[in-house]
Amino acid sequence: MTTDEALEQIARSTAEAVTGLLQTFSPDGVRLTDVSLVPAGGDPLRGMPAPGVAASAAYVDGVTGGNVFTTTLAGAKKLAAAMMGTEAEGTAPLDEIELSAVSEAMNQMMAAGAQATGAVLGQDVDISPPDTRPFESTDGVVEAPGSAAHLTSASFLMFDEPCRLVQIIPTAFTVRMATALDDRALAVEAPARQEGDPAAAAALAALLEAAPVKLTAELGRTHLAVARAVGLPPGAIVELDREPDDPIDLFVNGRRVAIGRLVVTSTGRWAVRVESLLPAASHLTAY
Amino acid sequence: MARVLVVDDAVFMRRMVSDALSQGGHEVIGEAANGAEAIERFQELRPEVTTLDITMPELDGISALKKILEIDPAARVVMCSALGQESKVLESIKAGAKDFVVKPFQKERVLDAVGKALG
Repeated sequence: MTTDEALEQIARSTAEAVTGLLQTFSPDGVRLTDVSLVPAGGDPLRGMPAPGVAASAAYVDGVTGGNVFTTTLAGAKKLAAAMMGTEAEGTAPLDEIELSAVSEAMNQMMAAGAQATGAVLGQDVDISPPDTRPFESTDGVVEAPGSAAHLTSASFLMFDEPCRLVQIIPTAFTVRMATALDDRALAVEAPARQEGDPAAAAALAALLEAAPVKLTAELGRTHLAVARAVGLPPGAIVELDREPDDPIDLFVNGRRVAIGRLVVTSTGRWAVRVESLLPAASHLTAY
Repeated sequence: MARVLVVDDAVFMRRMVSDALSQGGHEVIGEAANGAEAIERFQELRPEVTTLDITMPELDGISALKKILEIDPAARVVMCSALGQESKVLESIKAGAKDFVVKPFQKERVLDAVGKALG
């Protein structure tokens, strides 16, 4: 994978995560219109009107880099209103509560973006609290990153107002990302075994593909003497063999097929993000 | 109904959480904007439930949670986190938080979590 491809992939997955988050405030009001790489020396905020509001957040561990989200004053007011469940009024500068609402939206957007970045990299990525401030001119809102970093730019329309998400991605990061993405592609494209009559195998595979299976996620396990297991009182704490940060195992009908991470969905439910498939399970093979 | 301390660095978020709690019949007895302030207010007010944001300046929510539980091991704390902070949520629960709320949230979810914390 080339650096540009890696950059484009991270920019797109982050932009899509941010779009998804913004859509929780306004399902129909937000649209991602463009994701592109900013050429060296280019202005990532080209075409963005001023004045506006910018929020920046840095990754604090795992990955070095940062994000800047900008929108117009009207866009910020409409976003704040959507978050508060009110109507945007007037064109006055943002008051404290509006600025705070935009900052909170930015915090949530950046967390969603960091989660997308972490999914690409295969590791958790954490963010600093965002710094949100109004600007009169787009000059200097995004500092020139120098030769050791790349800029990507994603454009959105939010309540008909232009928004721009600029990512500052260090070169070292893209190298790691390209490696992680290549590893993942290899894991998924592991060669399938082909045996016997291909037509019969295909027919059987088609049949098997429709069969329902039970998927179980296992958080951890432990061994207990049976006397202790049956004598556990309510309130007893049974320690498992995993740390909170450890990956968990996924089983299909009792057979371990993948490892993943426990995540929480936007509706507050537990879910599992598959990190890697075990080689034997990467393809359905008919015998 | 419970006496609740609301902790978040965003004044907007404090207002949203406070509104949800008030509508659910709880009494918001104090607010704090970072982890250090949260510990001071906890000591002073001794709330029945504390809601704690995770990402905050000065002192983050997890460090504040641990300090609060040192002060009062029976403290009932509900964590508020943005998407993508699952490992921090797990760490909080392991450290002794009673429940968590993922932002953006519905008001009912906040009330559920506080209700669960009250047991």
